[in-house]
Amino acid sequence: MDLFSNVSLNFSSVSWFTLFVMVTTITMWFWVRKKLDLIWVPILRVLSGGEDPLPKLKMSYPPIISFICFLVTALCLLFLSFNPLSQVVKPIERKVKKVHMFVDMSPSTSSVDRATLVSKLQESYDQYKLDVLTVSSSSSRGFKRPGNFDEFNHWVSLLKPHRYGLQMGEAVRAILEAQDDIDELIIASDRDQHTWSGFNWKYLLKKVVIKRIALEHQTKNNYFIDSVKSKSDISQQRVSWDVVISRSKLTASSSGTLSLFSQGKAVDSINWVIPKGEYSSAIEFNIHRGKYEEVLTKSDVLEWRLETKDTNTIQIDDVFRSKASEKIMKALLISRESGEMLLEDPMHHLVASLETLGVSIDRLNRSSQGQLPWDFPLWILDAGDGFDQTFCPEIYRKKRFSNSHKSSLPVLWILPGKTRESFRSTCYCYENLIDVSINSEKNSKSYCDNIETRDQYISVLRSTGATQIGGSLSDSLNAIAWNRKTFDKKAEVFAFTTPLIPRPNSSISFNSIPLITQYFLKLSGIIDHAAQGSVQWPRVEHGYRNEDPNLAESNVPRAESLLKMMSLKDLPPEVNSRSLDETSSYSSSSGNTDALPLIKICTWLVVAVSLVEGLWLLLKKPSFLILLLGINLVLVETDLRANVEFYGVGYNLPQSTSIRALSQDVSSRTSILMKNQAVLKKKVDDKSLLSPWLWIQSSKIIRNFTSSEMSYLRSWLARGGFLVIENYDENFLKFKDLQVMNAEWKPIPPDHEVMRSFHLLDSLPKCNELVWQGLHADGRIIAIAIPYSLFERLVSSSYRNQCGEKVGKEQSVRIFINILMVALATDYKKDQIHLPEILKRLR
Amino acid sequence: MSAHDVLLRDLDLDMELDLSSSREIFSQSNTGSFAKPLKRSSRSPSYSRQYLNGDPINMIDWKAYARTDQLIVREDREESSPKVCILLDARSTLHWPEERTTVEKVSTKWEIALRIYFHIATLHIKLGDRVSLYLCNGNEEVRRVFYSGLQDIRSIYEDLNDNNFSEEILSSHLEFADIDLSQMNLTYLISDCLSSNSLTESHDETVRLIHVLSSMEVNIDWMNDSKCYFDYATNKLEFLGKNLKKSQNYQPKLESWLLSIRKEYDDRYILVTDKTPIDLYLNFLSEI
Repeated sequence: MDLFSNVSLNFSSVSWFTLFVMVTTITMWFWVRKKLDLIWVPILRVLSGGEDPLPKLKMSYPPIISFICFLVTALCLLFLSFNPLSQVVKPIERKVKKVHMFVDMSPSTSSVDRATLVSKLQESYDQYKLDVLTVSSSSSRGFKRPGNFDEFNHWVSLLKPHRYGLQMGEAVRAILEAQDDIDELIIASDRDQHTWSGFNWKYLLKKVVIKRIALEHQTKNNYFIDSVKSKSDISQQRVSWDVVISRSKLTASSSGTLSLFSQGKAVDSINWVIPKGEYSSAIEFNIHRGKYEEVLTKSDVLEWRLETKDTNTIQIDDVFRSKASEKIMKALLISRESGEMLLEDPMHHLVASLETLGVSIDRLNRSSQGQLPWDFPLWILDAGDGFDQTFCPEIYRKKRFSNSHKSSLPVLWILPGKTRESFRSTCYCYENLIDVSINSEKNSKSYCDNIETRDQYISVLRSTGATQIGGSLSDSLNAIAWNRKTFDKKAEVFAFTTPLIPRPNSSISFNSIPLITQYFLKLSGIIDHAAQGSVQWPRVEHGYRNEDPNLAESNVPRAESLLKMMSLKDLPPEVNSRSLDETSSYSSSSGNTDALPLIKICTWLVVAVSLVEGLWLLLKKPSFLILLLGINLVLVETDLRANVEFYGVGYNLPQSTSIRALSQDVSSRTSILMKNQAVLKKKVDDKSLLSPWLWIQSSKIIRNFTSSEMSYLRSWLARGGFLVIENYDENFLKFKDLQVMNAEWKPIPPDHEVMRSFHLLDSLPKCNELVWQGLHADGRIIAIAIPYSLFERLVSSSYRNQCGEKVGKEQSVRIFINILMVALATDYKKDQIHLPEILKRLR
Repeated sequence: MSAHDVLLRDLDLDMELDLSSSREIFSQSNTGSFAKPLKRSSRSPSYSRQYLNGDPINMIDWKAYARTDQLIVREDREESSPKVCILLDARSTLHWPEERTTVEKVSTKWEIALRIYFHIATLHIKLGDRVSLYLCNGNEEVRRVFYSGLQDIRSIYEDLNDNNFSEEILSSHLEFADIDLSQMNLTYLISDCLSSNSLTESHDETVRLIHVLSSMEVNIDWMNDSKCYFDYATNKLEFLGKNLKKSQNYQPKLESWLLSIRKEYDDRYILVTDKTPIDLYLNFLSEI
C-alpha cells in the first residue's frame, strides 16, 4: 500500500469527461429495450396516434464477463486521466549513452567569462555523469575520460584559449573519425560565424545527437590589429610600418595606444585614433634605424600590442606578431625597357604584383649587361618582341654543367612577348637552357626552327616532357605555362605560353595577375605553402589538434576578431539545463513516491482485460480468430525481418564487443539488419558453421585446423558458406587443404560483384603489395582473403595497422557492406536488369 | 338451419338468391338481370295503367278498351344481360388475422372476401350477366380471373376451399388486364378500406361496396394486456394491449371511420365480418 500512500491525484477535465462517458455507458448497459411480443393489427392505422406510447426500456443484467472487462478498463482509463497534484519527473532506467563533450577554445570564445564557462561545463557534466562521457577541447590534443567530478574540474581548469582559429566542421569530422560510436556530441561554443560556417551539423543528426552548450559573451566592440606592413623604402634614417587597426562595430571615434615589443621589452609606442564611422584606421609607426637594428640583433619577431580606452571584447587578438627583418625575396627580371612604366612597359603589372607579394625586382635590359645575381631564387626572362636572344642568359647553361656549382640554380620563368616571333625566340631560349647536351650550338637543326605560332610552341613544350600547368587534360592549349625540371634537378623552368600582361582578349586581367603570380611563386618554391605570404606572420584559420608549436604564436584570424554571430536557428539546439534542475530537485526530495508503477498496473490491466474480452469474443465467434492472427502478425512483424549476425573467429577483442556503429551503418544504408553484438569465438565450432558467413582473423588460424575441422569447413563452403580470411600471407595461397571443388585463388577482378554488389568501388586497398584474393569455385567466390584486418579497422579504436589506417572509414564500411551483400546474395547484380544502372553510375 | 343462424364465414356458392325476383325471362334475348329503359307492350295485367298523353298508341289494350271503355296501356320493360364487375381489393391487410395473432382459429378477411367474391359471381352468371372478376393489389396492378363458365368458377372455388384459400391457387388463374369502371353497369367492390386506391375511390351510383373487416378488428376484447400491437404503415407507434383496451378510445374512432365510409356510399354499402349472418348479406344483395 506504500504505493498509494503518497499518490494524490486531481480530477482533470478529461477525467470528468471519462467519468461521464463511463456512467452513461454503464447505465445504458443495464437499461435495455423491452422485448415484447409485437403483433400486427392493420386496423390500428385508423387510429391516428394520440395513444400512450409504449415504455420501451427495462432493466436487465448485462453479460458478466464483458461487463467486468468494460468496468475495469473504464476505471483504468479514469485513473490514467487523472492529473497528479504535483508533477514529479524522474528519469527511469536511463540508457547509458556515449557522450562526447567538445570545448571550443578559439579566440572568439576567449572573451567568455571564465566562471560562466566553468559553471556551464559543470552543469553539463552533472547531466551526463551517468553516461560514458569523454571530453576534448580545441586547445589540447587527445580525448580524456574524467572518472569523477574532480578530474573533470581539473581538466576544465587546464583549458586555455588558443590563438589559431577553429572550424567546427573539421573538428567534428576529426572527432567522429576517432570515436565513431558516440551517441551524443555536446559542443561548448559561442555563435561565432567563422567557427560554425560550413558545418552542416543537421546532416550528422541521423547518426549522432548534437547539442550545444551556449557560451555567450557580451558582444561589445572588439579592437584588433588587422595588419602590419613594413614600408619597403628602407634606405632612410627611420624604419616605418603601416599598421591597420580595426574594430568589429561602428561606434564613435575611439583611441588607444599601439606599442612595439621585442623579446618582451617595449621598444616604442604611438597613439592611434579610429575616426567616427570608420571600421579601421591605418597608422604609420616608425622608429629610428639604429633602434631597429638593435632590435634585430635580439630577435626577428616583432610583437605589436594594442591598448584601448574602450572596453575590448577579445584580448587575445590585441597582440599581433610580424617579422622584423622581412626577408625580401629578390628576383631578377631580364626585360628590355620599352618606355614609360605604366603605359608602355609591358612588364609593369607583373613587377607591381611581385612587389606586392614582397618580391623586390632587380631589372636588367640584357642578360649580358652585368654580373648576374646567382643568389636570387628567381629569374624572369622576358622575350619582349623576340627579335634577339639577349634576354636568354647563356651563362646559366654553362653554370648548370659546371661541376663546381653544387647548389640549385635560380628558377626560370620564360615569358613570351606579344609578337609571333617571340614564341620562336622563347623556344630557343627554353631549348638552350634545359637541353641535355653541353654543346647545343653544334646542333645544326633545332626543333624550334619552324615555330611561328603559340600552338606550335606548346606542342614543342609538350614533346619535351614538360608538365602542363592550367587548362584541362584534353585541352593543352589553355595551359598557361609548362614546367620542366632538368634531369639533374638543378634547374627548373616555367615556360609561359602567354605574356603576363593584362589584356582584354586573354584570360589574364588586372585582377588575376597578382593571383597568378602568387600561385607561380608558390609553385616555384619562392613562397612557403603553409604560411601564406612569407612576409606576413601566419594567420591560421583552422588549427584543431595541430601539433606545430608555432601555432601558439600565430596571429588570430581576422574572422574570429570580427565577432560575426550566427543566428540561433542555424545552430544545434542547446543542452536543456531546465531538465537538469528538475532531476536534481527530485533526487534531493524524498517524500514523493513515483506514480509510474500504478500507471503500469493500469496499463497491464487494460491489456489483460482486452485479452479476456478477445477470448470471450473468440468463444462466441470463432471467425474472430482470423482478426486475432492478423493483429499478432503485426505485433511480431519485427522478428520476421532479415537479421544477420557477425561471426568472427580468432579476434583479439572482448567477447562482448559492440559493433553498433557498424550495424547502424549497415542498416541505414541497406535493408539488412545486423545485430549490435558480434559473435566472437576463439575456435571454429558447429554453431559458427551454421551462419552464412564467417570471418577469420588470420590465415594462421586456418592452417592450424585439425583435419576434422578442415573437413567441416570444406563441407560448409560446399553448402554455400562464405569465408573471409583476414591478414593472410603469401604462403597461405599455396595452402591446398582449403581448395574444395577445384577452387583456385585469384585476385578479385575489378568487375567482380564484390566491387559493385551495393556500392560501386574503384579498387580494393592493397597492403604490402598483397592484393585481395578470391577463392573461385562453383561459379562464385567462396572465400575472400584480405591482406589486413578490415573488421578490426572498423570496430576497434585501438587497431593500429598501416594498411588499415590508410583506408578511410567510409571506404572500409563500403567494402564491408559489399562483402555482406555478396555473402548473402552472391551475384544478384549480374542480373541484366541492373546493368543499365551500373553502367550509368560507372560513367 | 335457417339463414339467420348461418354466419358469413360459412357462405357457399350454393346459397341461392334470385336477384331478378319475380321478373320473368321470355326469350333468349331477354336474359340477364338488368332492366333496359326500353318499354314494350305486354299481356301481363300486372303492368297495366291508365293511358297518358304521349304514350304510343300501339301499347293501348284495345280489347280492354272494348270491355271497359277505358284506355288501358299495358307495358313491360325489356331486360338484358348487363356488364357486372366484381373488384377485389387484395392488399396485404386482407390476409389478417395471421395465425399467431390469436389462439382460436378465425377466418381471414381474405377468405371471407373470396367467398363473397365467388358467390356474387355465381349469382350473376346464373342470371346470364356478363361478369368480370378483377383483383387489384397494392401496386395498383389489375388482374382478371380467367374463366369460361360457371363450371370454371365452381372448380376454382372448390380448389380454393380445399387449400385453405391459398393465394397461389388463385394467382394461377389470373391474367393482367385493364379495367374501366365507367363501362360497367354494376360494380361490386370488396375491400377492407384500410388503404386508399384510385380504383376503390369511385363512389359512382353503379358501385356497391362490400366492406370486409375481421370480427377481431371490430371488437378488440381478444387483445392480450401484456402484448404489444402495432401497424407501421401510418405511424411508428406501438400500443400495449392493456392501454388500448383501457383507454376506450378505439371503439369510437372505429365507428366514426365506418360512418364516414357509409356516408359516401349510402345504402350501397354493407359492412361484413366473419361473424355477420348470411341473411344480412343476402338482404343487401336483393334489396338494391
